[in-house]
Amino acid sequence: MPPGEIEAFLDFLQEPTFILTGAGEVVAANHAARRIAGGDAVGRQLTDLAASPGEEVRTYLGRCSGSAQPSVGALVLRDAQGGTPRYRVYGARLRGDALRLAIRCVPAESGEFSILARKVQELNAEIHARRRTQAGLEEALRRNETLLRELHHRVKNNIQLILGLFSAAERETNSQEVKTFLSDAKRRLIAIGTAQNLMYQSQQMRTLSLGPLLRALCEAIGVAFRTAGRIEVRTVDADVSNETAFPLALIVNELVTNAFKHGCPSAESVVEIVMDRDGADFVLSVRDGGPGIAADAPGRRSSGLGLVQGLCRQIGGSFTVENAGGARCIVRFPARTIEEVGA
Amino acid sequence: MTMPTLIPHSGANGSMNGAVVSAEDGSGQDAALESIRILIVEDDWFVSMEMEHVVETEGYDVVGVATSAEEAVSLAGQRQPDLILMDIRLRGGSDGVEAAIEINRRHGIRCLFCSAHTDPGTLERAQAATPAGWLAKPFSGPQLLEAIAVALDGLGLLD
Repeated sequence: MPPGEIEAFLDFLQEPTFILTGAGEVVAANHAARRIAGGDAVGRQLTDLAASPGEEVRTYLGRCSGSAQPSVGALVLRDAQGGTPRYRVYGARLRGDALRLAIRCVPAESGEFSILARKVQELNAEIHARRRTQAGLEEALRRNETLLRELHHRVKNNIQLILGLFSAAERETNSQEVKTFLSDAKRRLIAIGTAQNLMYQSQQMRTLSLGPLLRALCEAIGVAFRTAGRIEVRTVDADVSNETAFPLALIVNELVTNAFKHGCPSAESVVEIVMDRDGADFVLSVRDGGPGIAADAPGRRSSGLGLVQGLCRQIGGSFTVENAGGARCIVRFPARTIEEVGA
Repeated sequence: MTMPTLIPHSGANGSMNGAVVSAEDGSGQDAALESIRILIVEDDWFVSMEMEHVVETEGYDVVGVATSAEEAVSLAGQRQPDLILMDIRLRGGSDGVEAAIEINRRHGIRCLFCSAHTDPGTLERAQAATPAGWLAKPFSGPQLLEAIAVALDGLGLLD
C-alpha cells in the first residue's frame, strides 16, 4: 500500500490510532490521534503523550511487539486540552521487515467491557421497568376488584332502594289491584336480588350453582308465607350460566309462589321442588298439594304462568303443567355450557 | 342423578316449615313484642322508612333511626335498645362496623347487620362486635322479620 494510502486509511479510523517504532516513537498518527496530541505527533514518544506511567506503557508495547494478534491494554492519554481520557487499547506488531507497532485507542466507555456493563445496565433498567409495570398492573387489578365490589354493592343497594320505593307506593295506594301488583313485583325483585347476591358471594361472574340458587330462592319465598306448607328441595349439583340463572330465578319464584298461594290447602301441604338432569336438559318440577290448575286457568294465576312461559322461551326451554294430585309444573331447558352460550 | 340437598333450618328429610312471621297481612301486632326496643341505623331514607314500617307493623318498638356511625353510638346510649339493625356503609362515609364495636364495648348492645357488604373481610372485621346476626341486602320485609326473630332468640329476648 503506498504511503499516502496508509495515512488515508488511518484517518478513516474514528479512534486515535498510532503507528510506532519498537522503541515507542510515533511514525504515523491518524487525525483523531493528532487531535489528542495537539498537532503532529510524529517523532514523539508514546510515553510523552500518555498520562499512564511510562513503565506501564513500555511493558505494554513490549507485549505488543511479540505478537501480530492484538493485545488488549489500558491507556490514559494526556490530550491537548489538559484532559486525561481513558482508552482501551489494542496493539500488535505489523507484518513487515521493520518492527512497527499499531496501537488503536478505543474510548473506555465504548469498549467491549463497557458494552457488557451497558447491557447489564439495560437489563437492570428493563427489570426495573417491568417491576414498575407489574406494580402498576397489580394496583390496577386491586382497583378493579374494589370497583367490581362497589358495583355489586351498588346493585344490591339499588334493588333494596327499589323495594323501598315499591313498598312506599304500596302503602299509599288504596287500590287492591295496585297493591297486589306491587307486592308481586317486590317478590320478583327479591328473586333477582337473591341470584345477584349469590353471584357476589361466589365471585363468579358467568355462572351460578343450581343448588345454592334454588335453596336461597325457596328460603326467600318460604319466609314470606307464614301459614303455607313445607318446602322440599332436591337438586342436582351443577352450574348454569347467568343468562339462564336470572330468568330461572324468576321462573322458580313464580312457580313456588303460585304453589304456596294456590296449591297449599293446609299447613301440612308440601311444595316439592326437584331439579334433575335428563340427558342434555335440566328438568325443574314444582309440585303442590292443591286442586291443580284448570286448562284455561283464568285470572291472576295465569298471568304469572304467562310470565313463566315467556321466560322459558328466553332460556330455550319448554313449560308444561300436569294435574296429578295437585299441580305439577315442569320446566325443561337445555344444560348449555358457557362455551355454547357464548357469553 | 339427583342429590338430595338440605335447605337451612331444615330437618334431615330436606323440608322446612313455612315462615312463622310475616308483614304481609299487617296483623302481626303482638303485645309481647311491644316491649322489645329496636334502633335502626340506615342512611338510605327509603330503605330506613320501609324497615321502620315493617318492624313497627310487626309490633316492635322502634326507638330511633340513625343515619351515621356517630349518631348510632349516641342514640344507642340514649335509647338503650335491645337490638340494633345496623347498615355498614353509613352517611358521610362512616362505618357501621366501627359503630357496632363501640356500642357493644360501651353498652353491651348487639347488632343485626343488614348490609350489602357481606364479603369475608367485612364479616371477619365485624366479629369484634359479636354480631347478633347477618342479613344480606337486598332483603324482603318477611326476611327482615325472620332475621330479627332469630337474632332476638339468640339473645334470649324471645319467650
